[in-house]
Amino acid sequence: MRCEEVSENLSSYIDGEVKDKMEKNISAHLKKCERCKKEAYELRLIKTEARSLSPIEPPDWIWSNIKNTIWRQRLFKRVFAIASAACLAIVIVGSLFFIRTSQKRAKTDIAFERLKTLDEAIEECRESLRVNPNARVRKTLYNMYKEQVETINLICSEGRE
Amino acid sequence: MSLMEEFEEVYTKYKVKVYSVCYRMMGTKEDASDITQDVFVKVYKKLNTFKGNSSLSTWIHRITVNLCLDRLRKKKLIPLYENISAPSPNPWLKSSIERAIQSLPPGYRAVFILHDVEGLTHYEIAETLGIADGSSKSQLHKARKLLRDKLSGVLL
Repeated sequence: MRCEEVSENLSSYIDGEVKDKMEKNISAHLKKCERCKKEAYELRLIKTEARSLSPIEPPDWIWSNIKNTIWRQRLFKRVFAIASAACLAIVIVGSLFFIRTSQKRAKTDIAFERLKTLDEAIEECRESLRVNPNARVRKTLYNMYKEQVETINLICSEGRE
Repeated sequence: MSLMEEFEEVYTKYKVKVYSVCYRMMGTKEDASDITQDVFVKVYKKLNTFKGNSSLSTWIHRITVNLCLDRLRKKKLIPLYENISAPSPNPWLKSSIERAIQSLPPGYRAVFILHDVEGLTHYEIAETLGIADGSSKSQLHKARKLLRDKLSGVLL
């Protein structure tokens, strides 16, 4: 076995991870090659020393820092959840208010339009009565006055709500 | 047992392992402390999803090493070694090894620390780092060779 081949496999050899035949060949090579033997010794020493390096105890304050961070994150999560719920509630209430106001405004706008039409119709009716007074036109005028009052009441009641 | 109590148990069990790996990967107490905190905050968030110690242990190692590698990448950090005051029978050789570990490229350093210092198997390292078994073996081999070169005057 050549030194390069041994060197390539020495790491696995000292970990006991090479196959039987390879292990025998490397062992035989190490018996007669001082350079590879030294390399194997040094790699084994590194491995042994590394394994016996002392575990390092973390400082005590790390635990309280971790707890504080977790507590802060939980608090932030809760505040965020509450704020999100509040925002959602505001959006829902706002939307409902907007829809209701729009509906009201539409109703009032229609009533105003109707009132305008009624005013013009009443004016025409009165003009017609002056020229040709008759019961049918009077009845129509009466109905239009009645509707005018109802429309004004409707506008007033929408405004009060 | 509440989640916090369970978490405290996990912290007690893994704190030394995590801190040791962080310290040896980063080389400074400040970075090791920062990353240890980040690791355990992450662990707390996902603790519910873990069943069985084996996956938890692998996962904790994975977060630890990944956070260390991220930090090294971001800072392009050349680790500054601070002396470890822990007693040892051969402190001179040990501290030389500690110093030499810091000079390894981050990938090799991670594999070396996990295998030779922490005692993980290549299978566990492969799981932890998301690499193949063979890659773990080859990186360990290269790491040991580099260490041997760096420690050539010390290994007697």
